[in-house]
Amino acid sequence: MRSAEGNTTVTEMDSRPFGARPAVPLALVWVFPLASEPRVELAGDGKRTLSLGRDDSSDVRLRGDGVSRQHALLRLGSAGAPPVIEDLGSRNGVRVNGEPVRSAELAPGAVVRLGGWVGVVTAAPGAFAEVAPGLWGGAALAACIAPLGRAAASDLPLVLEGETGTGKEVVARAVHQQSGRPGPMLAVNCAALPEGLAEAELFGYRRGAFTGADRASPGFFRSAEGGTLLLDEVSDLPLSIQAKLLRVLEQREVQPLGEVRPVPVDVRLIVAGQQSLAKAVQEGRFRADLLARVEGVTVRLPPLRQRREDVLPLFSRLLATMANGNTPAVESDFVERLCAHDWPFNVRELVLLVRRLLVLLGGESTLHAVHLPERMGERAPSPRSVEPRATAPEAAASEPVELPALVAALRASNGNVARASALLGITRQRAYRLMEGNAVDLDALRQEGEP
Amino acid sequence: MKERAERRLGEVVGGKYKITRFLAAGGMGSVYEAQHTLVKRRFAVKFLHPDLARKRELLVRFQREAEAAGALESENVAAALDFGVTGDGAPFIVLEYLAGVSLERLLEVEGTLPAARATELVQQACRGVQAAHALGIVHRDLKPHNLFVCRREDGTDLLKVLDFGVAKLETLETSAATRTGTVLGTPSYMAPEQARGEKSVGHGADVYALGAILYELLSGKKPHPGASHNAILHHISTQPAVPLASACEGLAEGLVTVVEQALAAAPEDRPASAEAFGHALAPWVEHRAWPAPKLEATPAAREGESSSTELAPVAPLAEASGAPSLAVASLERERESSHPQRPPRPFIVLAGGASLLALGLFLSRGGAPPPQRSPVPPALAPAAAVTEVSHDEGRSRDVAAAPRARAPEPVAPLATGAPAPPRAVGLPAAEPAASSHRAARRSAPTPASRPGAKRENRGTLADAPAAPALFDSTNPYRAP
Repeated sequence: MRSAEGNTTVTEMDSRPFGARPAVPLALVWVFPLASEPRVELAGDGKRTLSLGRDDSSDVRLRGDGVSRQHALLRLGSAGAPPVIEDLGSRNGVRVNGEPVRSAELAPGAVVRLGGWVGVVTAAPGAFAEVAPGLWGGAALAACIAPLGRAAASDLPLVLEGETGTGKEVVARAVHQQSGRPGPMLAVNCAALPEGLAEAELFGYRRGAFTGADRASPGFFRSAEGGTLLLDEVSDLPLSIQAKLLRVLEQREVQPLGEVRPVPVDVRLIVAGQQSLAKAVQEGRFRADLLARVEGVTVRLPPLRQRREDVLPLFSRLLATMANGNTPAVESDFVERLCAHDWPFNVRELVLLVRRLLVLLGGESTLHAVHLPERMGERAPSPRSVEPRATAPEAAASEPVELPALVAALRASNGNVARASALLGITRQRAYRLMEGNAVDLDALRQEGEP
Repeated sequence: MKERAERRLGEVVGGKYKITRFLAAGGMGSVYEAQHTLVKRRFAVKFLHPDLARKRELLVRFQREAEAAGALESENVAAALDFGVTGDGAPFIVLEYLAGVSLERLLEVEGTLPAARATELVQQACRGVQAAHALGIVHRDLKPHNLFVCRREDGTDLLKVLDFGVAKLETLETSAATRTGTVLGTPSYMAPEQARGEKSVGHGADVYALGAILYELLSGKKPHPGASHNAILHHISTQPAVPLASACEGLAEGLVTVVEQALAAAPEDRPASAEAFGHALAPWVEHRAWPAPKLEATPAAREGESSSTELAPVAPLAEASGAPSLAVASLERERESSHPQRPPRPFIVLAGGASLLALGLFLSRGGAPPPQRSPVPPALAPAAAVTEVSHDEGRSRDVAAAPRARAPEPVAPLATGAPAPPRAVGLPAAEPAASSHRAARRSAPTPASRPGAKRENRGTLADAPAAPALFDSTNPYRAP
């Protein structure tokens, strides 16, 4: 057991229940003005602090607009303790997720703004790059799609999961391109197929096979012969058609409507959906045997809000490619809101935003936050404020904790000080101090707890 | 800082340069006017800040850059002439003393320049930069503030590239202390690779800057929009320059193409060298005399009225010369010993300060009675015109240029009794072809008639601490 003295540097966050927070090495990466600025590693021992400011003596020197000489202090996180940022009385303040804060914990995805600088806290820092043909992102996205690089050249069926707008079709095209398959790549949204026609559309039909079939159709499978077929929202297919799909995969042949003989096909199948197919199986919407047959490699594309560091680079790329050279500049308040937005429709939403800004604000030379749609300002969780430890640890305690409460908590936790202080919401350090002044016999309490 | 800087007045450094006047101070040190004790010629002496001089690496670099700059043989470069270390350990560079205005100031006054003049100025800058490139020196901080426009005797422009090496020095200094935020200064003329802080910034970055400068001379706008340092920086690093054709109508298509090539995002897509860029501009270049810039009233000028002491040495000289050019002879000792038969001197330096601008204000009002505290007659207009005051920071910027032994150009002879200016008009009298140029000037937009443009920009950047910025490294950041 550590002594009270030995614990003088234990942080406030130690009072958190153990295991509640996985220790992810986080980093603060700057997205504005330049993504090339060195990132700030946030993993540490929970003690080290870094100063941020305009001063030459700052650990992280930020030059540019609106940064005070001594702007903020970063307390590095440790296992079980997230990093914390504190305002050092800066003129323009510290903002986390769009809110001014005096001090705040930095969770993954937190958007930090200090004056003219905007950064994002991420567990996967890395350069923004074209991770697959036509697909741009940082390390988080690159890690996600890494398995596809190895699987692309095979004819393994793939499952792509991801929210709408996360780039499932782009990934499918990239895989197709990389696979070297000679045939075409076709993408079919199964949710959009009329239920009665789904089978005909997929597998083809003979002329006169049904009313209105005034000429034959090869269907999507045969159209994609030698290539790749993406079936998006595959769990929306009727179960009866799922059964036929299974047969196609097993036999490598399709049975067009009205045809007597099945037709062999060579198609690489990629199925996709917003939800996990396993969940669709549980809900009875997707055949388990079909899942087993298509699940060669499964990749879940991360939503944009889980890779906020990619938002501005994506925005800039879209702007550069869509604007014909005449693009506005963006200010830090704009960037902050852009990054802090949750992007429920992901990149598609971003594309639409760029298009909209270009049409409506073509004449603006600089974009500010006010140019963004109003609803984009909303973001559910505001950062959890914590007391600045460095200033006054004693005075920082929100409520006085009485000795009886501590003893009770210690009893309840079999004399485990960490757990007891967690129950009371105080630091372990503080618990030790209370005990020290009041002759609490920890050993006795522990023995009490034993049968 | 100024007080500390001015302590050198009267000192003789390097055994022969007597410090006669404080000119400006910047983040890296301060600049004084000095007179050679033997040859009686004016120079400008730049001192490296003693704190910086203590860093050995910096000191070595400072000296190496001085050597390199000294080796530059181009009429388009304001070269360093000497180097030394003072008794108290402050290294200094001795520079030419120049008369003229920075391109930045000229642009403020003129709004935009005609393509014929803009291309010629940039072509000359290309020559100066090419000479440096040939020696393996990359400027890396080219901007209108660093290009100085002098007037030859015949009224044609002579452009001098300033501050070679200082930019590099600055970079070194910051890279040592900085872990983040390495990009400093005005980003508007920075090449994308430079803005992104890439290590290997080569000649292409200077070509880009020259392109950006030409872009601004022609259109009055910067190639990348943005109201703040960071917004501009971000735009440069992620977006192409706003097409010149959409920033400025009526330009020759070919010229637009040449400028946009220089502004290509990838260095390999730009003209292969500064020289090549200069050549590409040839079809539009017109070498002829231009009217002297007309200085407008600025707030700084008005403030400057209170300190008119510096006018004293200038006034009689300008009066004596009345030379039809900006490069009026202006040194009192010239007047004193006034030898009309003396061989022509390439450049004269005219360091003025805010007070001269005050004079410019008066003159530009066309014969209004002079401000009370300005005892200078209207004939001094040319003198006023050669002085540059950065009105937003209230600092004066004098630039050095000295006669160079090999200076090939015919230049304004000092105090050689040029025709007296037509005082009655009260306009800057030193125009060669007064009538036609005056007409041209009248049509030229003045700062006041250009809503937005410069001043608006400054509005967002200018609440900076009024740090003097001789070396241009003083950044225009807003104080938090």
